[in-house]
Amino acid sequence: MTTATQRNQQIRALYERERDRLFRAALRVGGGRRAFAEDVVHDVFVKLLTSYESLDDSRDLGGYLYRCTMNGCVSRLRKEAVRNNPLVALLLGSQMAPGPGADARARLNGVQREAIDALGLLPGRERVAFCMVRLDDAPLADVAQVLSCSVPTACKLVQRAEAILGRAGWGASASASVSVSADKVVAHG
Amino acid sequence: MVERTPEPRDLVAELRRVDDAFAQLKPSRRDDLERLIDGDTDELVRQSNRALTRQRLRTAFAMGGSAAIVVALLAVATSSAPSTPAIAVAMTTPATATAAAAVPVLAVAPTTPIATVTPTATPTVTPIATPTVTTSSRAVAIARLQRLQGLAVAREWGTLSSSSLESLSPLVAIDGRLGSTAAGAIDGAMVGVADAVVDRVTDDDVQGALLEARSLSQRGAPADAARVLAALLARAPSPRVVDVVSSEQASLLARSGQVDEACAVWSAHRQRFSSSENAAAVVAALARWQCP
Repeated sequence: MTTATQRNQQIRALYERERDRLFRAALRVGGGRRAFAEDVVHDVFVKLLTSYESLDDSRDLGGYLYRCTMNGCVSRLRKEAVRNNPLVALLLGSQMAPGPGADARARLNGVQREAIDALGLLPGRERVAFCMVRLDDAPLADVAQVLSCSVPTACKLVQRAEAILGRAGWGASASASVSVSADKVVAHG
Repeated sequence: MVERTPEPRDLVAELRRVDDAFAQLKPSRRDDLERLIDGDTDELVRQSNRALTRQRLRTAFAMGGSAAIVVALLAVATSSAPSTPAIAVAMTTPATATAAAAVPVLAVAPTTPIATVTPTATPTVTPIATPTVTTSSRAVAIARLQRLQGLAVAREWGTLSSSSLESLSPLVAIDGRLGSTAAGAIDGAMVGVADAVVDRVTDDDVQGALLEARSLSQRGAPADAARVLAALLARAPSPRVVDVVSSEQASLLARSGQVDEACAVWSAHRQRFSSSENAAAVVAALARWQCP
Protein backbone atom coordinates (compact mmCIF):
# COMPACT_ATOMS: atom_id res chain seq x y z
CA MET A 1 0.00 0.00 0.00
CA THR A 2 1.32 3.43 -0.89
CA THR A 3 2.03 5.65 2.07
CA ALA A 4 1.47 9.37 2.00
CA THR A 5 5.21 9.91 1.78
CA GLN A 6 5.54 7.57 -1.16
CA ARG A 7 2.62 9.23 -2.83
CA ASN A 8 4.18 12.64 -2.43
CA GLN A 9 7.49 11.37 -3.71
CA GLN A 10 5.83 9.89 -6.74
CA ILE A 11 3.96 13.08 -7.49
CA ARG A 12 7.02 15.21 -6.95
CA ALA A 13 9.02 13.03 -9.34
CA LEU A 14 6.26 13.35 -11.88
CA TYR A 15 6.13 17.09 -11.36
CA GLU A 16 9.88 17.49 -11.73
CA ARG A 17 9.88 15.40 -14.85
CA GLU A 18 6.90 16.85 -16.63
CA ARG A 19 6.35 20.44 -15.57
CA ASP A 20 8.65 22.15 -18.09
CA ARG A 21 7.53 20.01 -20.97
CA LEU A 22 3.86 20.67 -20.22
CA PHE A 23 4.51 24.36 -19.69
CA ARG A 24 6.18 24.68 -23.06
CA ALA A 25 3.46 22.68 -24.80
CA ALA A 26 0.84 25.01 -23.34
CA LEU A 27 2.99 28.04 -24.06
CA ARG A 28 3.10 27.14 -27.71
CA VAL A 29 -0.64 26.52 -27.97
CA GLY A 30 -1.28 29.76 -26.11
CA GLY A 31 0.77 31.73 -28.59
CA GLY A 32 3.65 32.39 -26.23
CA ARG A 33 1.52 33.71 -23.40
CA ARG A 34 3.18 32.79 -20.16
CA ALA A 35 0.07 33.46 -18.11
CA PHE A 36 -2.00 31.17 -20.28
CA ALA A 37 0.51 28.36 -19.97
CA GLU A 38 1.02 28.81 -16.25
CA ASP A 39 -2.69 28.74 -15.57
CA VAL A 40 -3.17 25.59 -17.58
CA VAL A 41 -0.26 23.70 -16.06
CA HIS A 42 -1.11 24.86 -12.58
CA ASP A 43 -4.63 23.54 -12.94
CA VAL A 44 -3.36 20.27 -14.36
CA PHE A 45 -1.20 19.60 -11.33
CA VAL A 46 -3.90 20.65 -8.91
CA LYS A 47 -6.17 18.19 -10.67
CA LEU A 48 -3.50 15.51 -10.43
CA LEU A 49 -3.21 16.07 -6.71
CA THR A 50 -6.90 15.81 -6.14
CA SER A 51 -7.36 12.73 -8.26
CA TYR A 52 -4.07 10.91 -7.85
CA GLU A 53 -5.50 8.05 -5.83
CA SER A 54 -8.01 7.25 -8.52
CA LEU A 55 -5.38 7.00 -11.22
CA ASP A 56 -3.93 3.72 -12.26
CA ASP A 57 -0.22 3.55 -11.33
CA SER A 58 0.54 1.45 -14.35
CA ARG A 59 -0.70 4.13 -16.73
CA ASP A 60 1.61 6.50 -18.50
CA LEU A 61 0.90 9.46 -16.28
CA GLY A 62 3.14 11.67 -18.40
CA GLY A 63 0.84 11.04 -21.30
CA TYR A 64 -2.18 11.57 -19.10
CA LEU A 65 -0.85 14.93 -17.92
CA TYR A 66 -0.07 15.95 -21.46
CA ARG A 67 -3.62 15.20 -22.51
CA CYS A 68 -4.95 17.08 -19.51
CA THR A 69 -2.80 20.02 -20.51
CA MET A 70 -4.10 20.01 -24.05
CA ASN A 71 -7.61 19.69 -22.72
CA GLY A 72 -7.02 22.70 -20.48
CA CYS A 73 -5.73 24.63 -23.46
CA VAL A 74 -8.84 23.86 -25.47
CA SER A 75 -11.08 24.98 -22.63
CA ARG A 76 -9.25 28.25 -22.24
CA LEU A 77 -9.17 28.94 -25.94
CA ARG A 78 -12.88 28.25 -26.10
CA LYS A 79 -13.58 30.73 -23.33
CA GLU A 80 -11.40 33.31 -25.00
CA ALA A 81 -13.24 32.81 -28.24
CA VAL A 82 -16.52 33.47 -26.47
CA ARG A 83 -15.11 36.59 -24.85
CA ASN A 84 -13.79 37.81 -28.19
CA ASN A 85 -17.13 37.39 -29.87
CA PRO A 86 -18.15 40.90 -30.96
CA LEU A 87 -21.52 40.67 -29.25
CA VAL A 88 -20.03 39.52 -25.98
CA ALA A 89 -17.27 42.09 -26.25
CA LEU A 90 -19.90 44.75 -26.72
CA LEU A 91 -21.57 43.73 -23.49
CA LEU A 92 -18.55 42.95 -21.39
CA GLY A 93 -15.87 45.17 -22.85
CA SER A 94 -13.12 44.17 -25.19
CA GLN A 95 -10.29 41.90 -24.23
CA MET A 96 -6.67 42.63 -24.74
CA ALA A 97 -5.43 41.11 -27.97
CA PRO A 98 -3.53 37.98 -27.03
CA GLY A 99 0.10 37.84 -27.99
CA PRO A 100 3.34 36.44 -26.75
CA GLY A 101 4.52 37.74 -23.40
CA ALA A 102 7.50 40.04 -23.31
CA ASP A 103 10.00 37.45 -22.24
CA ALA A 104 8.73 34.95 -24.78
CA ARG A 105 8.68 37.52 -27.56
CA ALA A 106 12.21 38.60 -26.79
CA ARG A 107 13.39 35.09 -27.60
CA LEU A 108 11.84 34.92 -31.04
CA ASN A 109 13.09 36.23 -34.35
CA GLY A 110 10.79 37.70 -36.96
CA VAL A 111 9.94 34.46 -38.73
CA GLN A 112 9.28 32.70 -35.47
CA ARG A 113 6.92 35.46 -34.39
CA GLU A 114 5.12 35.07 -37.70
CA ALA A 115 4.92 31.33 -37.10
CA ILE A 116 3.39 31.73 -33.66
CA ASP A 117 1.01 34.34 -35.08
CA ALA A 118 0.02 31.89 -37.80
CA LEU A 119 -0.86 29.33 -35.16
CA GLY A 120 -3.09 31.96 -33.64
CA LEU A 121 -5.15 32.00 -36.82
CA LEU A 122 -6.49 28.59 -35.94
CA PRO A 123 -9.60 28.08 -33.85
CA GLY A 124 -8.90 26.34 -30.55
CA ARG A 125 -9.78 22.78 -31.49
CA GLU A 126 -7.90 22.94 -34.76
CA ARG A 127 -4.93 24.52 -33.05
CA VAL A 128 -4.69 21.86 -30.39
CA ALA A 129 -5.21 19.06 -32.90
CA PHE A 130 -2.53 20.49 -35.16
CA CYS A 131 -0.02 20.91 -32.34
CA MET A 132 -0.64 17.48 -30.94
CA VAL A 133 -0.31 15.71 -34.25
CA ARG A 134 2.27 17.72 -36.08
CA LEU A 135 4.51 18.92 -33.31
CA ASP A 136 4.13 16.35 -30.59
CA ASP A 137 3.52 13.32 -32.79
CA ALA A 138 0.47 12.32 -30.78
CA PRO A 139 -1.83 9.67 -32.20
CA LEU A 140 -5.17 10.82 -33.52
CA ALA A 141 -6.85 8.68 -30.89
CA ASP A 142 -5.34 10.93 -28.24
CA VAL A 143 -6.52 14.00 -30.08
CA ALA A 144 -9.98 12.52 -30.25
CA GLN A 145 -9.90 11.80 -26.54
CA VAL A 146 -8.79 15.32 -25.67
CA LEU A 147 -11.33 16.94 -27.92
CA SER A 148 -14.10 14.48 -27.12
CA CYS A 149 -14.67 13.66 -30.74
CA SER A 150 -14.24 10.72 -33.06
CA VAL A 151 -10.94 9.86 -34.69
CA PRO A 152 -12.19 10.86 -38.16
CA THR A 153 -13.26 14.20 -36.76
CA ALA A 154 -9.84 14.67 -35.16
CA CYS A 155 -8.30 13.95 -38.52
CA LYS A 156 -10.54 16.49 -40.18
CA LEU A 157 -9.58 19.09 -37.62
CA VAL A 158 -5.92 18.62 -38.46
CA GLN A 159 -6.68 18.83 -42.16
CA ARG A 160 -8.76 21.94 -41.65
CA ALA A 161 -5.95 23.51 -39.69
CA GLU A 162 -3.54 22.76 -42.48
CA ALA A 163 -5.90 24.27 -45.01
CA ILE A 164 -6.13 27.49 -43.01
CA LEU A 165 -2.38 27.63 -42.63
CA GLY A 166 -1.90 26.86 -46.28
CA ARG A 167 -4.01 29.86 -47.23
CA ALA A 168 -1.77 31.95 -44.99
CA GLY A 169 1.29 30.77 -46.89
CA TRP A 170 2.46 28.12 -44.49
CA GLY A 171 3.09 24.49 -45.27
CA ALA A 172 2.16 22.12 -42.51
CA SER A 173 5.15 19.87 -42.72
CA ALA A 174 7.73 18.43 -44.99
CA SER A 175 5.62 16.48 -47.45
CA ALA A 176 3.36 14.69 -45.01
CA SER A 177 -0.38 14.51 -44.88
CA VAL A 178 -2.61 13.00 -42.26
CA SER A 179 -5.13 10.26 -42.63
CA VAL A 180 -7.27 8.40 -40.22
CA SER A 181 -5.85 5.74 -38.02
CA ALA A 182 -7.07 5.06 -34.57
CA ASP A 183 -3.73 4.47 -32.96
CA LYS A 184 -1.28 6.54 -34.93
CA VAL A 185 -0.87 9.27 -37.45
CA VAL A 186 -0.36 7.97 -40.91
CA ALA A 187 1.90 10.25 -42.86
CA HIS A 188 1.86 10.09 -46.61
CA GLY A 189 4.93 11.41 -48.31
CA MET B 1 6.23 34.14 -68.57
CA VAL B 2 4.81 31.86 -65.92
CA GLU B 3 4.63 33.20 -62.41
CA ARG B 4 5.93 30.79 -59.85
CA THR B 5 3.92 30.31 -56.72
CA PRO B 6 6.19 30.84 -53.75
CA GLU B 7 6.98 27.74 -51.77
CA PRO B 8 5.00 27.66 -48.55
CA ARG B 9 7.13 28.11 -45.50
CA ASP B 10 7.48 25.16 -43.20
CA LEU B 11 5.44 26.01 -40.14
CA VAL B 12 6.33 22.85 -38.26
CA ALA B 13 10.03 23.54 -38.62
CA GLU B 14 9.59 27.11 -37.43
CA LEU B 15 7.45 26.09 -34.50
CA ARG B 16 10.07 23.58 -33.46
CA ARG B 17 12.54 26.44 -33.43
CA VAL B 18 10.05 28.38 -31.33
CA ASP B 19 10.01 25.43 -28.92
CA ASP B 20 13.79 25.60 -28.75
CA ALA B 21 13.61 29.33 -28.12
CA PHE B 22 11.12 28.75 -25.31
CA ALA B 23 13.24 26.01 -23.77
CA GLN B 24 14.67 28.34 -21.15
CA LEU B 25 11.29 29.60 -20.02
CA LYS B 26 10.11 28.03 -16.83
CA PRO B 27 6.81 28.23 -15.05
CA SER B 28 7.09 30.71 -12.22
CA ARG B 29 4.51 29.30 -9.85
CA ARG B 30 6.66 26.49 -8.63
CA ASP B 31 6.44 27.41 -5.00
CA ASP B 32 2.70 26.98 -4.81
CA LEU B 33 2.78 23.65 -6.54
CA GLU B 34 5.71 22.37 -4.59
CA ARG B 35 3.95 23.14 -1.36
CA LEU B 36 0.98 21.24 -2.64
CA ILE B 37 3.06 18.29 -3.62
CA ASP B 38 4.72 18.21 -0.25
CA GLY B 39 1.34 17.49 1.19
CA ASP B 40 0.28 20.90 2.43
CA THR B 41 -3.39 20.13 2.59
CA ASP B 42 -4.25 23.65 3.67
CA GLU B 43 -2.60 24.85 0.51
CA LEU B 44 -4.61 22.39 -1.51
CA VAL B 45 -7.83 23.66 -0.04
CA ARG B 46 -6.67 27.19 -0.70
CA GLN B 47 -5.88 26.38 -4.30
CA SER B 48 -9.23 24.78 -4.82
CA ASN B 49 -10.89 27.79 -3.26
CA ARG B 50 -8.94 30.07 -5.51
CA ALA B 51 -10.12 28.29 -8.59
CA LEU B 52 -13.65 28.70 -7.33
CA THR B 53 -13.06 32.30 -6.38
CA ARG B 54 -11.59 33.06 -9.74
CA GLN B 55 -14.71 31.73 -11.34
CA ARG B 56 -16.95 33.65 -8.96
CA LEU B 57 -15.08 36.82 -9.59
CA ARG B 58 -15.41 36.47 -13.32
CA THR B 59 -19.10 35.85 -12.92
CA ALA B 60 -19.39 38.86 -10.67
CA PHE B 61 -17.72 41.06 -13.22
CA ALA B 62 -19.96 39.77 -15.93
CA MET B 63 -23.02 40.43 -13.79
CA GLY B 64 -21.76 43.86 -12.94
CA GLY B 65 -21.80 44.80 -16.56
CA SER B 66 -18.15 45.45 -16.96
CA ALA B 67 -15.50 42.84 -17.13
CA ALA B 68 -12.97 45.54 -17.59
CA ILE B 69 -13.28 46.60 -14.02
CA VAL B 70 -10.96 45.11 -11.61
CA VAL B 71 -10.83 46.84 -8.38
CA ALA B 72 -10.04 45.62 -5.03
CA LEU B 73 -9.36 47.46 -1.90
CA LEU B 74 -7.79 46.00 1.14
CA ALA B 75 -7.74 48.99 3.38
CA VAL B 76 -9.32 52.33 2.83
CA ALA B 77 -7.71 55.40 4.24
CA THR B 78 -8.17 55.67 7.93
CA SER B 79 -10.17 58.54 9.32
CA SER B 80 -7.10 59.87 11.07
CA ALA B 81 -5.40 60.41 7.76
CA PRO B 82 -8.04 61.99 5.58
CA SER B 83 -5.58 63.27 3.04
CA THR B 84 -4.27 59.84 2.41
CA PRO B 85 -5.53 58.55 -0.85
CA ALA B 86 -7.12 55.20 -0.81
CA ILE B 87 -6.10 53.20 -3.71
CA ALA B 88 -9.21 52.77 -5.66
CA VAL B 89 -7.31 51.37 -8.47
CA ALA B 90 -8.36 50.79 -11.88
CA MET B 91 -10.27 51.01 -14.32
CA THR B 92 -11.64 51.05 -17.73
CA THR B 93 -15.32 51.29 -17.40
CA PRO B 94 -17.46 51.15 -20.48
CA ALA B 95 -19.64 54.16 -20.95
CA THR B 96 -22.59 51.82 -21.01
CA ALA B 97 -21.94 50.53 -17.53
CA THR B 98 -24.75 51.25 -15.20
CA ALA B 99 -25.11 51.15 -11.51
CA ALA B 100 -25.79 47.51 -11.53
CA ALA B 101 -25.14 45.08 -8.79
CA ALA B 102 -22.08 45.92 -6.83
CA VAL B 103 -19.16 43.69 -7.42
CA PRO B 104 -17.87 41.98 -4.34
CA VAL B 105 -14.20 42.36 -3.83
CA LEU B 106 -12.67 39.21 -2.55
CA ALA B 107 -9.93 39.58 -0.15
CA VAL B 108 -8.00 38.27 2.75
CA ALA B 109 -9.66 34.92 2.90
CA PRO B 110 -10.48 33.75 -0.57
CA THR B 111 -14.19 33.82 -0.01
CA THR B 112 -14.50 36.80 2.27
CA PRO B 113 -15.64 39.93 0.54
CA ILE B 114 -14.25 43.04 2.18
CA ALA B 115 -15.70 45.65 -0.08
CA THR B 116 -17.97 46.11 -2.99
CA VAL B 117 -17.43 48.08 -6.12
CA THR B 118 -20.27 49.66 -7.97
CA PRO B 119 -19.39 49.47 -11.62
CA THR B 120 -20.30 52.93 -12.75
CA ALA B 121 -18.15 55.34 -14.67
CA THR B 122 -16.83 56.48 -11.32
CA PRO B 123 -16.75 53.28 -9.39
CA THR B 124 -17.52 53.50 -5.75
CA VAL B 125 -15.71 51.32 -3.33
CA THR B 126 -17.63 50.49 -0.22
CA PRO B 127 -15.92 48.54 2.51
CA ILE B 128 -18.16 45.89 3.96
CA ALA B 129 -16.45 45.56 7.26
CA THR B 130 -13.09 45.07 8.73
CA PRO B 131 -11.96 41.82 7.30
CA THR B 132 -11.81 38.93 9.63
CA VAL B 133 -8.24 38.26 10.36
CA THR B 134 -7.59 34.66 10.99
CA THR B 135 -3.88 34.47 11.40
CA SER B 136 -1.42 36.58 13.25
CA SER B 137 0.91 36.94 10.29
CA ARG B 138 -1.95 38.24 8.25
CA ALA B 139 -2.87 40.68 10.97
CA VAL B 140 0.67 41.94 11.16
CA ALA B 141 0.85 42.23 7.43
CA ILE B 142 -2.38 44.14 7.25
CA ALA B 143 -1.35 46.46 10.03
CA ARG B 144 1.87 47.20 8.24
CA LEU B 145 0.11 47.72 5.00
CA GLN B 146 -2.30 50.12 6.61
CA ARG B 147 0.59 52.12 7.90
CA LEU B 148 1.73 52.49 4.34
CA GLN B 149 -0.56 55.40 3.72
CA GLY B 150 -3.53 53.26 4.35
CA LEU B 151 -2.94 51.56 1.12
CA ALA B 152 -2.78 47.95 0.70
CA VAL B 153 -2.83 46.31 -2.53
CA ALA B 154 -1.29 43.04 -3.16
CA ARG B 155 -2.11 40.12 -5.09
CA GLU B 156 -3.49 36.91 -3.92
CA TRP B 157 -1.47 34.63 -5.98
CA GLY B 158 -3.91 32.46 -7.74
CA THR B 159 -7.15 34.08 -6.70
CA LEU B 160 -6.87 35.96 -9.89
CA SER B 161 -4.85 34.19 -12.46
CA SER B 162 -2.15 35.85 -14.45
CA SER B 163 -4.37 35.82 -17.46
CA SER B 164 -7.04 37.60 -15.46
CA LEU B 165 -4.42 40.11 -14.57
CA GLU B 166 -3.61 40.66 -18.18
CA SER B 167 -7.14 40.80 -19.35
CA LEU B 168 -8.76 42.53 -16.45
CA SER B 169 -5.96 44.61 -15.12
CA PRO B 170 -5.37 46.79 -13.29
CA LEU B 171 -5.53 44.34 -10.57
CA VAL B 172 -5.72 44.66 -6.93
CA ALA B 173 -6.04 41.72 -4.75
CA ILE B 174 -4.85 40.57 -1.49
CA ASP B 175 -2.27 38.08 -0.63
CA GLY B 176 -3.82 36.07 2.12
CA ARG B 177 -0.47 34.62 2.90
CA LEU B 178 1.42 37.77 3.52
CA GLY B 179 4.02 36.93 6.04
CA SER B 180 6.42 34.09 5.77
CA THR B 181 5.51 33.22 2.24
CA ALA B 182 4.88 36.71 1.00
CA ALA B 183 8.12 37.12 -0.84
CA GLY B 184 7.49 34.44 -3.40
CA ALA B 185 3.92 35.44 -3.95
CA ILE B 186 4.75 39.08 -4.38
CA ASP B 187 7.67 38.34 -6.63
CA GLY B 188 5.28 36.36 -8.73
CA ALA B 189 2.85 39.22 -8.74
CA MET B 190 5.53 41.63 -9.78
CA VAL B 191 6.69 39.48 -12.61
CA GLY B 192 3.11 39.15 -13.72
CA VAL B 193 2.50 42.83 -13.57
CA ALA B 194 5.73 43.63 -15.30
CA ASP B 195 4.79 41.30 -18.11
CA ALA B 196 1.45 42.99 -18.50
CA VAL B 197 3.10 46.38 -18.43
CA VAL B 198 5.82 45.55 -20.88
CA ASP B 199 3.31 44.03 -23.21
CA ARG B 200 1.42 47.27 -23.40
CA VAL B 201 4.41 49.30 -24.41
CA THR B 202 5.00 49.45 -28.10
CA ASP B 203 8.07 51.63 -28.16
CA ASP B 204 11.06 49.32 -28.61
CA ASP B 205 13.44 51.52 -26.65
CA VAL B 206 11.10 51.70 -23.71
CA GLN B 207 10.41 48.03 -23.83
CA GLY B 208 14.12 47.31 -24.02
CA ALA B 209 14.75 49.44 -20.95
CA LEU B 210 11.97 47.72 -19.05
CA LEU B 211 13.29 44.32 -19.95
CA GLU B 212 16.80 45.31 -19.01
CA ALA B 213 15.57 46.69 -15.72
CA ARG B 214 13.68 43.56 -14.97
CA SER B 215 16.63 41.43 -15.88
CA LEU B 216 18.84 43.43 -13.52
CA SER B 217 16.20 43.15 -10.86
CA GLN B 218 15.96 39.41 -11.27
CA ARG B 219 19.73 39.17 -11.00
CA GLY B 220 19.54 40.84 -7.64
CA ALA B 221 20.39 44.37 -8.66
CA PRO B 222 17.17 46.35 -8.24
CA ALA B 223 19.08 49.56 -7.59
CA ASP B 224 20.80 49.26 -10.98
CA ALA B 225 17.46 48.46 -12.50
CA ALA B 226 15.97 51.58 -10.98
CA ARG B 227 18.81 53.60 -12.48
CA VAL B 228 18.06 52.23 -15.94
CA LEU B 229 14.50 53.43 -15.57
CA ALA B 230 15.59 56.77 -14.19
CA ALA B 231 17.72 57.26 -17.28
CA LEU B 232 14.75 56.43 -19.42
CA LEU B 233 12.56 58.91 -17.58
CA ALA B 234 15.21 61.56 -18.05
CA ARG B 235 14.62 61.33 -21.77
CA ALA B 236 11.19 62.85 -21.26
CA PRO B 237 9.08 60.11 -22.75
CA SER B 238 5.38 60.34 -23.32
CA PRO B 239 3.01 60.56 -20.35
CA ARG B 240 1.96 56.99 -20.94
CA VAL B 241 5.54 55.83 -20.66
CA VAL B 242 6.02 57.92 -17.56
CA ASP B 243 3.06 56.12 -16.06
CA VAL B 244 4.59 52.78 -16.66
CA VAL B 245 8.20 53.51 -16.01
CA SER B 246 7.88 55.63 -12.92
CA SER B 247 5.81 53.04 -11.14
CA GLU B 248 8.29 50.35 -12.09
CA GLN B 249 11.03 52.59 -10.83
CA ALA B 250 9.28 53.04 -7.53
CA SER B 251 8.82 49.34 -7.08
CA LEU B 252 12.47 48.68 -7.84
CA LEU B 253 13.58 51.34 -5.42
CA ALA B 254 11.39 49.78 -2.78
CA ARG B 255 12.83 46.38 -3.44
CA SER B 256 16.36 47.68 -3.15
CA GLY B 257 15.53 49.10 0.26
CA GLN B 258 15.41 52.72 -0.87
CA VAL B 259 11.98 53.19 0.51
CA ASP B 260 12.21 56.94 0.96
CA GLU B 261 13.12 57.34 -2.68
CA ALA B 262 10.38 54.94 -3.65
CA CYS B 263 7.86 56.92 -1.66
CA ALA B 264 9.12 60.11 -3.29
CA VAL B 265 8.50 58.66 -6.70
CA TRP B 266 5.21 57.36 -5.46
CA SER B 267 4.20 60.78 -4.19
CA ALA B 268 5.26 62.51 -7.38
CA HIS B 269 3.25 60.19 -9.51
CA ARG B 270 0.53 59.11 -7.16
CA GLN B 271 -2.21 60.45 -9.31
CA ARG B 272 -0.83 58.65 -12.28
CA PHE B 273 -0.50 55.48 -10.30
CA SER B 274 -4.07 55.61 -9.26
CA SER B 275 -4.91 54.86 -12.85
CA SER B 276 -2.01 52.65 -13.52
CA GLU B 277 -2.13 48.93 -13.64
CA ASN B 278 1.24 48.88 -12.04
CA ALA B 279 0.04 50.31 -8.78
CA ALA B 280 -0.33 46.81 -7.47
CA ALA B 281 3.32 46.10 -8.09
CA VAL B 282 4.47 49.23 -6.35
CA VAL B 283 2.47 48.61 -3.26
CA ALA B 284 3.35 44.98 -3.29
CA ALA B 285 6.98 45.95 -3.36
CA LEU B 286 6.50 48.33 -0.50
CA ALA B 287 4.62 45.68 1.35
CA ARG B 288 7.38 43.24 0.80
CA TRP B 289 9.87 45.62 2.23
CA GLN B 290 7.66 46.09 5.21
CA CYS B 291 6.94 42.41 5.63
CA PRO B 292 10.22 40.59 5.11
